[in-house]
Amino acid sequence: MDLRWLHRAGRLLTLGALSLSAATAVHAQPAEPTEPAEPGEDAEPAEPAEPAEPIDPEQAITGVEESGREPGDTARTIGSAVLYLPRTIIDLMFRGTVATASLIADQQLVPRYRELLGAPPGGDVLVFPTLFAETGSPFNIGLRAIADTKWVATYQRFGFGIPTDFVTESRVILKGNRLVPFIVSFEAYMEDENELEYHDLGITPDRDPRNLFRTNSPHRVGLYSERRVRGLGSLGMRLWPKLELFLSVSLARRQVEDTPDSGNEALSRVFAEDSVPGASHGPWIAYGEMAARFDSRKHLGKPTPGAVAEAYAGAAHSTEGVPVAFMRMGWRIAGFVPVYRQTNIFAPRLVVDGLVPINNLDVPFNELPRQPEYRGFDTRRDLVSIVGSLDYTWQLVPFMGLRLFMDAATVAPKVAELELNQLFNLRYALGLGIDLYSDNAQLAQLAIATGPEGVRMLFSLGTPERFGDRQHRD
Amino acid sequence: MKTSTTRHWLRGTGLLLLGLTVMGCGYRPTRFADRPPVTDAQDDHGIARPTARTFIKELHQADVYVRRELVGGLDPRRSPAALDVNSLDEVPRSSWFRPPADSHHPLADYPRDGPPKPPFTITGEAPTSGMEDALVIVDARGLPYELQPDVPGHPGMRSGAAAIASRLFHALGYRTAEVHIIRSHEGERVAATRWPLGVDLGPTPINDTRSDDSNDQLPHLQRRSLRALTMMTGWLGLKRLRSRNLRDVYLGQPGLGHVQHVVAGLDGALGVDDYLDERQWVEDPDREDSNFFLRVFSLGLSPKPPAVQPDKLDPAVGMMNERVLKDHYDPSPPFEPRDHLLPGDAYWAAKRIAAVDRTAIAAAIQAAKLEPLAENWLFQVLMLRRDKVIAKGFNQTTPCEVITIEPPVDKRGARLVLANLAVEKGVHSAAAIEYQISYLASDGEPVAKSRRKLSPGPIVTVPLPAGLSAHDYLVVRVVAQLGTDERPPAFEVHLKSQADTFRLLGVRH
Repeated sequence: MDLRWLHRAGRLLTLGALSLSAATAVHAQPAEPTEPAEPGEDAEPAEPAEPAEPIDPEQAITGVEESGREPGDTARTIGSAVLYLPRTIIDLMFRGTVATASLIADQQLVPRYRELLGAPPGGDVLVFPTLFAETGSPFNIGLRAIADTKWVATYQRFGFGIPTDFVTESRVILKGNRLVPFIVSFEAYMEDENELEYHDLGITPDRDPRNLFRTNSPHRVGLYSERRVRGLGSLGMRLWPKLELFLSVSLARRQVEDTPDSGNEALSRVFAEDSVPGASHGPWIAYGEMAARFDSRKHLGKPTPGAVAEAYAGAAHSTEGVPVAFMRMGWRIAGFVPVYRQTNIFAPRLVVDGLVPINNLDVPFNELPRQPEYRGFDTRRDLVSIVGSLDYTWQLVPFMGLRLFMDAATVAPKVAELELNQLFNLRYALGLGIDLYSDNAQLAQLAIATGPEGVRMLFSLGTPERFGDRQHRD
Repeated sequence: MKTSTTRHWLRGTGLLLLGLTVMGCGYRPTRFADRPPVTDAQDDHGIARPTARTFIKELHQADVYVRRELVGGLDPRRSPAALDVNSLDEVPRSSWFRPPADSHHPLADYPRDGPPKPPFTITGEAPTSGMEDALVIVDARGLPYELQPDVPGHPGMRSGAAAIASRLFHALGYRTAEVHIIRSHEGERVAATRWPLGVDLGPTPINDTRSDDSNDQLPHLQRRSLRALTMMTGWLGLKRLRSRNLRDVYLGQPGLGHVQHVVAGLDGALGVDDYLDERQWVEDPDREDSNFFLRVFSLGLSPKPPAVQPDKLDPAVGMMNERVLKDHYDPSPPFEPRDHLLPGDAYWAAKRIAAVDRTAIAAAIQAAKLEPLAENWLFQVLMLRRDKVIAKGFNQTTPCEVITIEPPVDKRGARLVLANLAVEKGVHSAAAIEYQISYLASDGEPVAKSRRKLSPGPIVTVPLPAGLSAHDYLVVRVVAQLGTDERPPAFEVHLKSQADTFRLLGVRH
């Protein structure tokens, strides 16, 4: 490259003439490749260059043959290698779960999230990893894939609860918006869980006369594994912007066994033989349900005033195996009351779930209502479950808020049998959480709850594990 | 036995790591190939039209506020050098950047299609530029434009900002969408943005490349044109870099066209976003205290700060003065390329800004068709801010450029002639600067005694002693030490020995 033109420029340069544009011109000039000229020879104008070869982007533009190194770079590289795994996991996790949450947290009716997100008419395919961790449960890592087109969305989920739990779920969702927005959904679901706890019936299982423990067992909690399979079809309609209606039918089976290698803590060694319905057989159960949900909140993600009410009723009947028949019903109601600011929300909530056996047939223990809304340890089951909670959330920045909460929960054989004694045995949990959210989706949550039974921590990124219409919360 | 084996293994690993650390802790300069600098990235080969990108706000927010922080915190490596920079430390022409054809008249080629020619046809379609309240029209030539009205009560503020900022970004070398001030079919003053320029492909991916664009090979975080963008937003008072501000368009016939990366939607520049934010805050019944910890510990019940109406000189200008706020250098939402802004990138941005002279600035302001008071105010403020941003960029490194390499004459050896742009621009006094010069071989080993030098003016001559020509590859490192200030990064000049003189291979700031 000939630099004598630079030399000439330097000679001509006077302080007054030195300008930034001249300096820029110095850089812009040597554009074409030229051969070095001999000293003392005037430079000839460069010949037009041959058409350039395609540039190797990583090196050719910079002209760098070998990258330099600064003091400390090796230590930084070693540090980077050490941190590669957590960094990559977090990177993938965020790229994935956040998108999942955005797409399907407003899962009740697909047309609404399409509208919210403006998904392209040509469709989209998204694959995301997910992460859930909570005290007393396996660390759960998984993968979700969504293929979304104008009229059909398919959804596939795989999850691994370390070390042995596994869940897979497939959905096909047909979407429409004729008279009202609606979806028709078909789902196949299979889950293996290997270390579940059963505490038996009642608010104080070890004193409940309905429970029969083996006399020679010191344990009052049985460990079991469960394989759950389910096919589900549902129709969801948004009758009004704030009102949704769901009709769903499912065929499901839960097969229970003792947790392998659980020794004396195995379900069959803690409870008397045949005293736990459903422990030794897993009938296929058909279930149909109707649910309605009213939600007046403008935003589902960030703290927003409004009210939510939901009610459901359904009937179940076994189609094979031991006869089982029961009805489920329940309701939940919640208010979101602004305090001083619209973004400070005081939210009382009451959730009531009930199950009524038909013809006095036994109900498999794992069909009894549980208490997933209770943020302490969800260990009680009975025919009636009541969970009340008070939350206070306040926004710190537009995508993050803090939450103080208090939950109280009880169970009973019947509503009529709820008595003062229940109050003395009421289970409660107090907690603090931090939420990350968009306007319409919760993106991540970290919470800690404490109560007489201990401290429970919960961390989730992305969509809650049990999302979807009401049946998905069972 | 087992314990002993473990101990040996740990000791061996420790020694290996220590050895690697010690071996790798020295400095080694970059080595340039012996070839001319690239002036055109040639990233405009014909490709099939890429897929339009969907922007998911929730994803983007979580990405920049959470993932970016966590992943960045877990990566101790230095930000790598920009890859869209040639051996002379300049950004060559590409689909992202085009150095002005005429540096003295950088706006000469701004109008490509010009303002829309009446009669207009209102298409009724939704605007695709991201300007929600814009009206889409097609002019008499069939070219689409989007007409954006001003904020009620502030005629000229938003439209003027869009027109001025678009021109100044063009003068800086960025590809922009044309904006012209016109009267709409209803006689209203509007900013007419020529949009879309081709096929709109949606927002430019910020931390990823387009997999379906074979021209898009360089990681976007390693593009100086993006990293340096926040210096430009600092100058032009742009508080927000939204998804609509960086857009991709496909230009050309299907299969023959290519993607261009365009800066658009600049109606929030010149303090307009600051004003609108301030007004929204004042009108917000739930306005929060700016103290984050107070918000945490007051449970959201902290007293609402008093609503003070924003104060500004003229309805036609935004809230911008000569103070360059941190929000303007660090626009919201966080712009990830800024995390990797290196001193050389900031210096390059300062040079680009310095190259936009007062004539170009005045011409850009005049195109906004504002009242004289507003024009004067904007001109003064932009000139003052320009000086501050230039100083900021120049202060981050040793702001020198190579003027020439003088061959040896008689007994005098070859000399490297540099210009200190900070002195030339009056940012610093020449007398306050001491130049520390060192000569290194390509492996970083010193090959001559270091020198200290003072210079009475912006021109600095660096002697290249005769013995140096024995080295095929020579790196001259120059540090402009300003008093007791922190030592700035060196300006590196890479030379190749040629007979008894040298020729330039590359420079780095």
